[in-house]
Amino acid sequence: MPPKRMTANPLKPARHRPGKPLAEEASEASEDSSEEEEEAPPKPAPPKASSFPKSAHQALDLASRRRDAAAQQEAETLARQQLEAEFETESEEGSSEKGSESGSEDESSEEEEEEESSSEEEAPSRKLLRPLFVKKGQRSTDISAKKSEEQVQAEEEARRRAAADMLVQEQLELAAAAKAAGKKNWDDEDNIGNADVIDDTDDLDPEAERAAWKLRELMRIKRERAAIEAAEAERAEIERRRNLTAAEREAEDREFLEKQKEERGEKGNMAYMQKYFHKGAFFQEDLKEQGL
Amino acid sequence: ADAKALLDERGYSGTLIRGQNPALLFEKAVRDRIVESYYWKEQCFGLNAATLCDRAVELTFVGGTYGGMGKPTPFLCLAFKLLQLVPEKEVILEYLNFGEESVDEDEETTHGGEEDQPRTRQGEFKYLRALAAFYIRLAWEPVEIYQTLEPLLSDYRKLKRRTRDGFTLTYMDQFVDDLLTKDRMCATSLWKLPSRANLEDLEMLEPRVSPLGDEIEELDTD
Repeated sequence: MPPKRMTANPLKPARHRPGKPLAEEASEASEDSSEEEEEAPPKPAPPKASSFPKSAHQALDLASRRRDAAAQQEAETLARQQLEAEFETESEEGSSEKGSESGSEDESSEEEEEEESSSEEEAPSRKLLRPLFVKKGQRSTDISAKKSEEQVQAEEEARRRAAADMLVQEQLELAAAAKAAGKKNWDDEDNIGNADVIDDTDDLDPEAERAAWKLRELMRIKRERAAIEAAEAERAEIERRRNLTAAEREAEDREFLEKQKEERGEKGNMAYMQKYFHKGAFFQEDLKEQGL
Repeated sequence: ADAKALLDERGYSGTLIRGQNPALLFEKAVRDRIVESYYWKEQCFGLNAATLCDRAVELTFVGGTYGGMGKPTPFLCLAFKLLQLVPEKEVILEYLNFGEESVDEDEETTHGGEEDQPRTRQGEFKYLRALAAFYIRLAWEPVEIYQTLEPLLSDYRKLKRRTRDGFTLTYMDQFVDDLLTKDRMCATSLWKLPSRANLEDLEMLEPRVSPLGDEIEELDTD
């Protein structure tokens, strides 16, 4: 589990803030190491064996620590049956514990150390029974109850997720069925307005259709002919003008312009100091329609 | 398969149409709309000439873009796909006269309804034909355009056409006529075609003989 604060800085113990309960500390420490053995709630952090010889200046080496941890476990299985409270045993094992305890001297967020060291680090006294390390699988404390709760919750979540998956599956199947039935996805946003009104089936009335087609074809032919004739006429006009002399051309132009003026009407002269109002070159037909 | 090479205007190295990337026949706005539409993304990925046929026979209307947002029609998306594929002439002719009765010795079987009546060479899929006509108008040379599209002027089947605000009815010959004469059709600016008169003057084309030619002559002589 990644550390809570995602920094490489070593975790410092929580500051004392007056008025705030210390419970945060304990919860923080327990969250850090998921595999950490849950200690009895009011129990403080295991005391560091600072007074232990040869412990303070060991080099940190994860591999060596792991090896030591493995070795430690073996040693513990052997020594489990020994319920001695003697220190000699501990000091004998001290050498093998060296690595682990040096690790534990560091900030207590290391998971591996907590397991082994927590049980070893008790302030030993001759009168007390030596605390026995019980392997994780064989412990039967309140943890199991809590874990069963967690298991129950996990099962519930799994069930809920399964239900959600079922719903999604149904919806997907519905969509696939609709698609298979011919409804096209790209048409989803279309409001097919009067698509059905317009009927494009053929041969409903062959005669009428043929007649309509004939009409269109005749119109097309007529249009082509008109275009040809217009082109011809223009060419003829150009030829004719070329054959006139310059004076005759000017005479014709003047006549044409005067005719235009007459059609336009003699209202061109503006009053004194009137603003120049141009009717505009476009929309002439619209103006005429509206009678302006 | 995907249109990345087509849409990359600088790095295009495929077939050119009139010296240009075929995609540039559509305007940038229209191209963007097409490429962002669901139809393009779902249905037009990895099409080849054969599978495009399958898509085209499911068309039910022609049109450019519609709606306020300029949503492209499947017709337009398939046309863009054709521009990407740039199929060969024979393939397009197959699209056009789909279902032509096998009078000629074609070993290819023509599926779709074959009409026994000799009035026109019509297949069952008129929208495929319209799509092919649209492509021809965009991609081929003027002489070929006139020669290929004019027989379609005798096909008077109905087409549904989607405009900005709804649907209208049009006819195949009307559609082809618009392709030949109008400037802008189905959300694209059709490139300027020399008029038939010009081509006749240049003697690349014969003057058009309409299917009603005989009747007109009778009218004229009256």
